[in-house]
Amino acid sequence: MRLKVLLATAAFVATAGAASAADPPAPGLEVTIYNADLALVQDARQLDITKGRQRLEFKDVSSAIRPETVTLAADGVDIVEQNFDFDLLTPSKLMEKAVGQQVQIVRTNPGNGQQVTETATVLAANEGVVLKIGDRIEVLRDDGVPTRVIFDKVPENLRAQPTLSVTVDSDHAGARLATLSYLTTGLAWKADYVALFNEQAAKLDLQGWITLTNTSGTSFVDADTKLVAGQVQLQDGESGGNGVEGVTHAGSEAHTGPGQALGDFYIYSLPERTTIAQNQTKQVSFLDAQGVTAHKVYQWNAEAPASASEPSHAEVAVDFSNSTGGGLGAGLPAGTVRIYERDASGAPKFVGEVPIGAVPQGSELSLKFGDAFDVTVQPTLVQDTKVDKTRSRYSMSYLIRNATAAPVTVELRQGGYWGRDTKVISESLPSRAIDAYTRGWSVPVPADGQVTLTSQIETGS
Amino acid sequence: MMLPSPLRGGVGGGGLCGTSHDGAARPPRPAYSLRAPHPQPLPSWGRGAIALALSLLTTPAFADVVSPKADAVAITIYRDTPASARQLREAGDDDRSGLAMVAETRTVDLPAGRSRISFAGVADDIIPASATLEGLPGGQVERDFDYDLLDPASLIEKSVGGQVMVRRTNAKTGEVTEEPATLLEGPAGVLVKTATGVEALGCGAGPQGLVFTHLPEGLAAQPALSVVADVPSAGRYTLTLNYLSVAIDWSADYVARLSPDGKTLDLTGWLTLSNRSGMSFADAPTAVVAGKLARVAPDLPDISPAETTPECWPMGTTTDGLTALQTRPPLGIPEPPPPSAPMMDMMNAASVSEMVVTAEHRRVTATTLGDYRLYTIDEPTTVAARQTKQIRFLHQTAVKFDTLYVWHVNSIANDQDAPVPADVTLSFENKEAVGLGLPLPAGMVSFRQPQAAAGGRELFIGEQGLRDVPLNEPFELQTGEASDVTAVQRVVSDVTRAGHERVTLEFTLTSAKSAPVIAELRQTPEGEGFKVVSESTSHVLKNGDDVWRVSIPANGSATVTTTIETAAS
Repeated sequence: MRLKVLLATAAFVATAGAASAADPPAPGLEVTIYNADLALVQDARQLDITKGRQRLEFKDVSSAIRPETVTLAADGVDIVEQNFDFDLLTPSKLMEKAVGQQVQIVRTNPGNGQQVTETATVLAANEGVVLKIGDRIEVLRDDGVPTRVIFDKVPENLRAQPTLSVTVDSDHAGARLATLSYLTTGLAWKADYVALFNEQAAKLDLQGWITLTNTSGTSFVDADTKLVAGQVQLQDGESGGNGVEGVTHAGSEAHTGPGQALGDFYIYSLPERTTIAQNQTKQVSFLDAQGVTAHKVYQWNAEAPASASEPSHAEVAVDFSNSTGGGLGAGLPAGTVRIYERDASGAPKFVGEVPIGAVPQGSELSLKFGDAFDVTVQPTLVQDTKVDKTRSRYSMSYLIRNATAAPVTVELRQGGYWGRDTKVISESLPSRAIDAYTRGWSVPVPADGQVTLTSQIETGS
Repeated sequence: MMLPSPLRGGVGGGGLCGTSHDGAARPPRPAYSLRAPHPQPLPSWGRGAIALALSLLTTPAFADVVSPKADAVAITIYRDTPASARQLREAGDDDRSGLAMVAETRTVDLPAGRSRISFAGVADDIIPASATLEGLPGGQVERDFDYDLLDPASLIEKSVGGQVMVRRTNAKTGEVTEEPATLLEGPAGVLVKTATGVEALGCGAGPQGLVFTHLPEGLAAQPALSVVADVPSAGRYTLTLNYLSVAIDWSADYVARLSPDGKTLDLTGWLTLSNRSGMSFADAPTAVVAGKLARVAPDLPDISPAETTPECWPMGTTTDGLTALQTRPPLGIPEPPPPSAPMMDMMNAASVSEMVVTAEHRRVTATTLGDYRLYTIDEPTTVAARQTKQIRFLHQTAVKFDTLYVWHVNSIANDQDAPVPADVTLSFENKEAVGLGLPLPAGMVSFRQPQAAAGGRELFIGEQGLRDVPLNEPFELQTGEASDVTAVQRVVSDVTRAGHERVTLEFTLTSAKSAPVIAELRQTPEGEGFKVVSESTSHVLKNGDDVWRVSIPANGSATVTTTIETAAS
């Protein structure tokens, strides 16, 4: 086993409204990305601030910013107010704001190409633009003659892009370090795993990659990037994390793998500053474990005792543990596991992909990655007898076929025995209770063979 | 398998397809990491802070290496859900179903130290997070998939705030003037500021447009996959790049040709490969995987180019209502004729513009991949963009089967006076002894049979879908209904007593065939307390159904009587 940890585990606590005066951050951009399409951006820069009240504009903040989360911290600076202007500059807005004002119009005569410039007053801009030129009233381009309209200036409040402005009051003049921090959407991360499964050796090689996506509309240049795994409560009802899909038994082993445990979160730090460009998917390796003990399991589940007109395929799962003993020993952030097996020529080939939730270290995982083409089960409800007013007896028969060249064991699960006092009257193989409502059998099936499993189960309603 | 709706429409393709997918013509990716991707990337913080801030940024300089194309590529194609060739052919352009694993071999010359290696010519429909790269001597620092594409909208968007030229052409004199301007806003409603003032472009001012002096950084012609790697020693390295790509699908289709006597058939299986992506795979070792894989809805980046949406102020005039009159074509000029039928077909021909049928000489080898069935095409083949290709993978002659005439019945006490035709059902055992004995991937089976009534001409007699059938399993296929083998159902009695209802039904089965036939009445035990009380011939339990099986003599009839008890409703 080889476990390579590529990430530094810096214990940096990222909380909204960071940058305390006692511990001023170094200049630069810090981005902390959460699982749930959310990131905290902390931008520390030298700012030249004059004494007294002034307005600072931040044009290149993320266009997916949540403006209510903005804080600006700098020495000796008081925030008077913050504005996020999204009354965007458009030709139409420009014309509306020019109502009552003068503009220049330049007409090109289509006959001789001559240009005439006139001064006009915009009277209205509803459906069409009505102009007053001298003592005439005209509709702009009423005759279809190409006409340029030239405005003096752009009105104050119209902006080319959503702009954050902060009005501050400074008690002294001079350059100083200021930290702007805010939450933004459009940045997200998840884990992608490459699992190469060697069935014969019962081993799994697992590589983990952190996948960042940036669709925020802004590039984050040379950002010190941290990733938070875990659930974050969000006010709009969405919660930040994932369930524990694929995990059959959650572990309680102490976390020793990559990532620094921090309260209820795990923090992964990218080893060096990186640029997260707009419209980019970026992947950074965080886990490379070889030879994790793993084995293949055939499973077949039925909800209620019933017949099927056709056989159905058993599911194939790979079972492994992320405890230290199994050779992995790392918590796994939520993401997608892509499983590969080697074909006859030895080339790895994709065999299925499974979503997993955040998996604490020491858990048992069972990843169902596909259906076995050659292992099928066909159930038949042979008899459904009412024993008395409240109790029924189900006689089931399962024909389990194995067309592979090796013997297999099928883990067969029959649910639906949901009543009280369920008891097994007879069965051709011993079963065990999976839970109060489910019986399970481990059925060995010879190579190129078939086995019939029968059971009689009585249950109250 | 059925995916809820994982495959987003409108991704990929678009204006990007069909130009230079072999990668030869792709310009090298700009070394954006050395500079910021925006022309003015830094916030306009206060005054005079930018230069200082820039100097504080640390970006390691590294070499840019472009791998223009793969030396060799192999593809393995998977199915989302079993389909027929017809479904593949009729799938729309935006159908992203199907999955391929692409394995590329690439040779790169790397200098020592840190390099960014860009892989040109990867499939447009790549699932970026699925990429794996082997063969690098050192560690991978990071892997990027960039899809900030150069299009008119992004060109304008990234140039906002920068200097452009506004070009105007006098339509009469032909005089062209260019004027420097600052681009204030775009792409939705372009505004520029010139020496004379602020102007909107595209607001009826006649022929004018923007001329850009430089390309904004960070915009590329095509999506690009790249990796940043630390290389301990310079040299030539062979890399294996694997990734998953959508919009490549396959199906199995069978043609079953029955013998004139209907006792045996010849079964031919065809693999149909359908490549709806814009990527061509030339001379690629190709394999398909039969079996159901678990899938996760893929994270496909939205690489469709942004649309430019011109915006202006209200353009209404006093003559708006008259436009219909003004735009009427002058008399004497005929309207262009509507496209002819074949042209229409070509225009509508969904996604696949070419179909290649390859027969006898190409062979397919069947092996296993884990618990799936792997069909490897023996010779490398070219799977071109927007192409459907068919390859024979199976040919079994003189396959034996039983023909059954089947009715599905229930115990509802209804007379059926009109004779009901039987379902013609072919019953197979997937065993060598009867001429089969090999795994059959799910697909559509089309039946043909020479018909004496048609002078011995072979006619199409029906088609039905087949599930994935492993070795040694029985399976059935229906070809159609037999109008000369019919059943009439009569209610003999219907008695309800002590909470139980007993229905006695009599079925008269009639055959006009010149040989005896086997008939089956099948009933699914349904309803509380279902019980067969009496029957004229004993039933068996088969595939969850109670089945009464009788022989109908040539040009004769047979009778089956059943009495079924259920709890009275």
